Amino acid sequence: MEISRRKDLKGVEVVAISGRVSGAEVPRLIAEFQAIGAGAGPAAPPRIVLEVSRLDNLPSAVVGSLLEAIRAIEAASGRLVLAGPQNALTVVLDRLGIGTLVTCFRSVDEAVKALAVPDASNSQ
Amino acid sequence: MAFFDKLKEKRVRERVGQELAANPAWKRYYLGRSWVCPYCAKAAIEDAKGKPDLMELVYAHLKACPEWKEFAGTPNRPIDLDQSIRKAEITQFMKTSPLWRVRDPAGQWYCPYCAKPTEVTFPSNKVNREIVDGIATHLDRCYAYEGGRGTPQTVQSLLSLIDKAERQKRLIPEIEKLTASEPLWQFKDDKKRWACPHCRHIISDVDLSSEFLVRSVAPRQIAKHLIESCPAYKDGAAPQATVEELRAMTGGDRKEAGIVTLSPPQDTATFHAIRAELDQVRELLSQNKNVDERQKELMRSIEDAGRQQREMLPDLPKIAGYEFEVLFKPMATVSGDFYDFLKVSPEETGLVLGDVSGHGVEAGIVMSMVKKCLKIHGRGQSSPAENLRVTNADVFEDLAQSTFASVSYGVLNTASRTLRFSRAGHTPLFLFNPTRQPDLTVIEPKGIVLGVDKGPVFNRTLEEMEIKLVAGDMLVQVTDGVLEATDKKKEEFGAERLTAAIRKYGTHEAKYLVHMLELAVNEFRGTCPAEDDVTILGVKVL
Repeated sequence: MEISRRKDLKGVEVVAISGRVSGAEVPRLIAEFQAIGAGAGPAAPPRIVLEVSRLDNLPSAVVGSLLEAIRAIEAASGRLVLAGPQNALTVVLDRLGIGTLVTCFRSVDEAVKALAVPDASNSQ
Repeated sequence: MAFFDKLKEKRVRERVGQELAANPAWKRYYLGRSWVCPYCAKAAIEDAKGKPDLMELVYAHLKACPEWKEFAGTPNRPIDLDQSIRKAEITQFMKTSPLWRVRDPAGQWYCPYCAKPTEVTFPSNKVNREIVDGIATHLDRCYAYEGGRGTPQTVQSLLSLIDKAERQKRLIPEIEKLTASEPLWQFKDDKKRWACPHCRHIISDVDLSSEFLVRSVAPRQIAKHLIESCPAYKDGAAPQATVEELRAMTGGDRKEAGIVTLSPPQDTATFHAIRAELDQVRELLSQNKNVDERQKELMRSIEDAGRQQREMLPDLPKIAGYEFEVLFKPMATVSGDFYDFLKVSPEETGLVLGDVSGHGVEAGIVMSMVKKCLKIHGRGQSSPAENLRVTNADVFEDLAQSTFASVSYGVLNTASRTLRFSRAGHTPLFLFNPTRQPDLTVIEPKGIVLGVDKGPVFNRTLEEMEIKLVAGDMLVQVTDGVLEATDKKKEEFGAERLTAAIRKYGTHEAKYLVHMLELAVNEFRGTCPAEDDVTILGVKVL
């Protein structure tokens, strides 16, 4: 599993997770989501896109932390969305019935466009 | 009689004639002979079939029938008449025919048509409505009864069957001991089929290909062979074959052939998993002599928690007409997977299968809370969706934000042979029966996991489905540890492999199916370690 971060030009942070999450890597991904959630504050509502188009699986043990991060960010008036989930991920989300709680976009571009703040285009 | 009265009577007679000729509800006969009135549902005219004056006799009955009211009364539907007639006939047969009262020593009634033990039990000859209803329900689905057109057995043949079944039951414990300890009873050929030490034949029905089969299935099959088909077996007599003969017969020097090797008789996979983990812990502890007492105490606490959890696992229900089997294989000492069987009402049993996110002690604590809530709210609650709604409301506040539980909950009604099923974000229910069209159905009502929404979304999303069960149905539920099991190529076992395995083994008994599903998952995973708890629940409708 690989995790990389970049700040988009429009003030949206893109966290790309790729590869396969093995059982041993579950705690690392949980910690990543917890860090994302902990960084949320009302002073700077975070806008985060999780790019998961090259993520092969989403262990259900990780989903709780993902939901926790989404809640923390939404509580701080921010947003956390998924971009490009493939079949293996949508199957898990559908099975758990939490499709309505996790916003998904087909691509990073679409997600960034939806989350971007109009006057943030020159913030970098 | 006045003119108009005569005219009226003539018209009524004509109407009676027309109804008798064309209306199915007017053509119902008790015991195939006595005409049954569609209004009062009583056998009104004895030996009516073929009587030339039937119309007159019927008219005479109707004039006295309080329900007729000159055609203004409400006639019974043919289907309801048939039901009443069948029950009246059963009552009559039970009173008059010994064939209809044949039961085993435990009082279990044997059907005089299919000759199989049924779910109807009555210790004395006294017949009541519940017994008649139970027999009627069996006959409704009995392949041999054919609506009364089937050929009945004889009392002699039924008693002989019962005698064989009882002898087999008595023999099984003895065979379990013999196959576990006596070399003479442990020979198998290269195809892992048992060699009978009495008749010296290879018995293809007795499969010794795994330890599970040797311990759990083979003793029953061996008893069946000895009692029903072994030409050399005599009650109490020792086998005539010698170890040398059987070795030569099975090709004992060939690979796979020879004597079955059994490990010590600890039973469940759970036990093995826990023991392996404890061995690891002990090894680590012995390597590090500086591990302090607090850590040791912690390990003891975890072991105690795991033991407590295992002791809380329920026994499999014993319900006539159904088989239940569960495989529970935790990954850690304390598991987040759970299952339960709830007594909802005298005729309803709740089937619970759940999985708390994560595993280990925290998941185990949440598991206990969810399980208890379901049990408390399940008493007298026939709707699984309603139970899940109340349980979600109860546990929502107490769960950490990152913790949730997926639960499937079905309420099995043994009287109506139905299953009401809801799914709170759990894997779907698989229903397999080769006689159904399609043979395999994935039952997946909508629902989200417990603990992520306080109520509005959860309650709005949750659906409930009702399934009418028929003989031969196999219901299978698994936790995600089955679907997400991975092989060395990082592929998941997935729903396709699971359904293929269900199709392959779903016609067998529940115990066999669950065991074979476990083998399929293990075989698929190969040497890759398990990354999640695994639980499989199988229910077979007989």
